[in-house]
Amino acid sequence: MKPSNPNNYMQEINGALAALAAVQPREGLEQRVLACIASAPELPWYRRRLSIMPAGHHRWALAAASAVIVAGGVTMTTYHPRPTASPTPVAVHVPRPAQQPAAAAGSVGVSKHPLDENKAKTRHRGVHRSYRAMHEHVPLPRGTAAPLRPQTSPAPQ
Amino acid sequence: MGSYEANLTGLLPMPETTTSVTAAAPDRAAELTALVNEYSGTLYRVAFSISRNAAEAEDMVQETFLRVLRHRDRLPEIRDARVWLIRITWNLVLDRKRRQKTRPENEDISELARVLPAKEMRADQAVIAAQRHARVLSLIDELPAKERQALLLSALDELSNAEIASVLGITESSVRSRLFRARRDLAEKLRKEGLKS
Repeated sequence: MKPSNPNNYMQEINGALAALAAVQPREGLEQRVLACIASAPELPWYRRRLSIMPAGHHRWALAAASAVIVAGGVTMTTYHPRPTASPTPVAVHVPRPAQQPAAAAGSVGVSKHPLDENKAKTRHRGVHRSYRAMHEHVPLPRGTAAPLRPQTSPAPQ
Repeated sequence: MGSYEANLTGLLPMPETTTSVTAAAPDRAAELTALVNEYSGTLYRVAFSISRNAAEAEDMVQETFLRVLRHRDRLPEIRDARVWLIRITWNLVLDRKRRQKTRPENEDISELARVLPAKEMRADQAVIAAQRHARVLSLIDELPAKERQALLLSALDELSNAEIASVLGITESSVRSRLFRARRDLAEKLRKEGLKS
């Protein structure tokens, strides 16, 4: 088999394909087929339905898909989600309004008006006092000894 | 009555799927018999092109018509019975081959020698030609599956490119390109083979 050019290769290919296409069955194939289907047992209805697809792996795919669907259905019917607690309130931080121009100016020392300066100091002192009031002047419950304050008397000579 | 004999003789009722077709059960059996008589040879060649085994190809033809009988209700819906039957046989043969997971070891060279076109060859020449064809067919088996299938189906003179496309579930242009690639690759393999020998 030494064809010299591609045309000869094509002749080889065509010859082999022609030989393949010229294959004839043994005599009496039709009668054998008819006898086979006449003697074949009747399949039950579910086998008839399943045999729609000839490929075996298709049947497995169908079985797997059916199993997934059944499992999903069972899960959906048996699963009851627990009632969840109401969500905790979340603090909403509203942005504070912009500082008054005068106060802002006083805080940075732009404005030299004494009243403005006092206002800023008063506000700062008030905040400071309220902090001290919360931490130093809290009334103690009855029967509780007052906390000892550090003695400020001068040390004995 | 637990056999298909009743169906063939038309004793069991068969539901109609379309109203336009008024085929009765005996007509359906006669239709099936006509299909067997008309397409058995074609289906045998289709099966043989893959299996390369006469007995296996005959089994595939029988299995094809068994399936047709099981779905005889669909017969009126079928537009092109030939392509439909070829497709069933094709899928059956491929499925069996996939299960075997082996290449056909028992290629019927004698079968090829028996059916060679040149009947006037002497016996020894026919055997040599059969061996040469068997070698080409084994090279066809080494082609990629897509190209190989298109090439084998194109070997059947009865099938046009459109029908091959319908059997394989691809477009006609894909069939043409696969055939081109298959022939080109096969010629390349033959060239290498010629260099080796």
